[in-house]
Amino acid sequence: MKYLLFLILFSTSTLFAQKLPQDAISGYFSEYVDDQDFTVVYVSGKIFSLFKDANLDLDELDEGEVEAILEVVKDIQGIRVLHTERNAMARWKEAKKRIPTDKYELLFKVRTAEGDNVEAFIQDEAAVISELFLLIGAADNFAMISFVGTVDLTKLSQLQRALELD
Amino acid sequence: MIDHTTAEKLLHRYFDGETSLAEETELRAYFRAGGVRADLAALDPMFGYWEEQREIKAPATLKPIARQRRPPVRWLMATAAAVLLLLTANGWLQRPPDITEFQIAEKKEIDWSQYEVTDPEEAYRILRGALKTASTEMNRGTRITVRELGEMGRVLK
Repeated sequence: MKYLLFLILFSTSTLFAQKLPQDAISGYFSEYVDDQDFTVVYVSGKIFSLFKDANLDLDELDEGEVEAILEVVKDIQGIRVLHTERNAMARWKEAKKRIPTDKYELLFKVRTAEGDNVEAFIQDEAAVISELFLLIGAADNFAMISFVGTVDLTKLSQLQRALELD
Repeated sequence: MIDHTTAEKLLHRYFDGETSLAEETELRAYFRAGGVRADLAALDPMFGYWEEQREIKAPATLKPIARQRRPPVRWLMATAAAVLLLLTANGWLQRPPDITEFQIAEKKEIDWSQYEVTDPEEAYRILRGALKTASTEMNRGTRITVRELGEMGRVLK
């Protein structure tokens, strides 16, 4: 009985010792980052604080649009984009298998008649979304986009209208 | 003490279920006394039965019945349950690693700074593009779902 108790205590302590959640690309697609076929882009969250502080010249940018965008990704910590045009569909199929369904919840899945696929996953804890991860697979385009930060899905849905008004 | 004629009458009433308790006692006394009329003698065992049983005496001390030794079921069940629990907990805590872990190449820390976009306007452009894709596809998925649900509603009506 003591052995069992010890086991339980030990396992729960290791649970708490886990690292903070990292983004999906770093977690499951790290080798793609070194792959020369891929274009890799990273945008740190700090850069967006410049927008918020209005330190930038925003004459060329629609202020309403900027505001709508920043509403969606409050406290954004980072955006990571991986994109390739080579072997797109094969990579798409491979990538889909790697998403762990216990950590990432499927938000939506779209497949068009042209064979373009978009799947979105969210990582959330206590109903707060900490990452939105998009997987895009088309005949000539494979892309992974990871938004790490608090994502407001309602605002995201409304964003399309705001962006199409320009 | 009743006579033979009365006994006969009472017997008829007895078999008709009409005798009182007092009358039945009298009948029993009649048969107990003996000297029963010949044609009534056949009924003697019926009224004499309880008398005979009364004579049987129980022995003074009863020999205790040897109790069968039963297996200690409760103790065995408790032990089995504890062992099962330990094995299950052990098996659950030592879960084999997820299969997906083997498919991934050796994880290494990625230095994202070498890919970092430093120009704020470009950063904004990327963010805008990425969010536009996410938003458009999300709405497309929702629109398709709503349309399909509408179709389903019409079909089911």
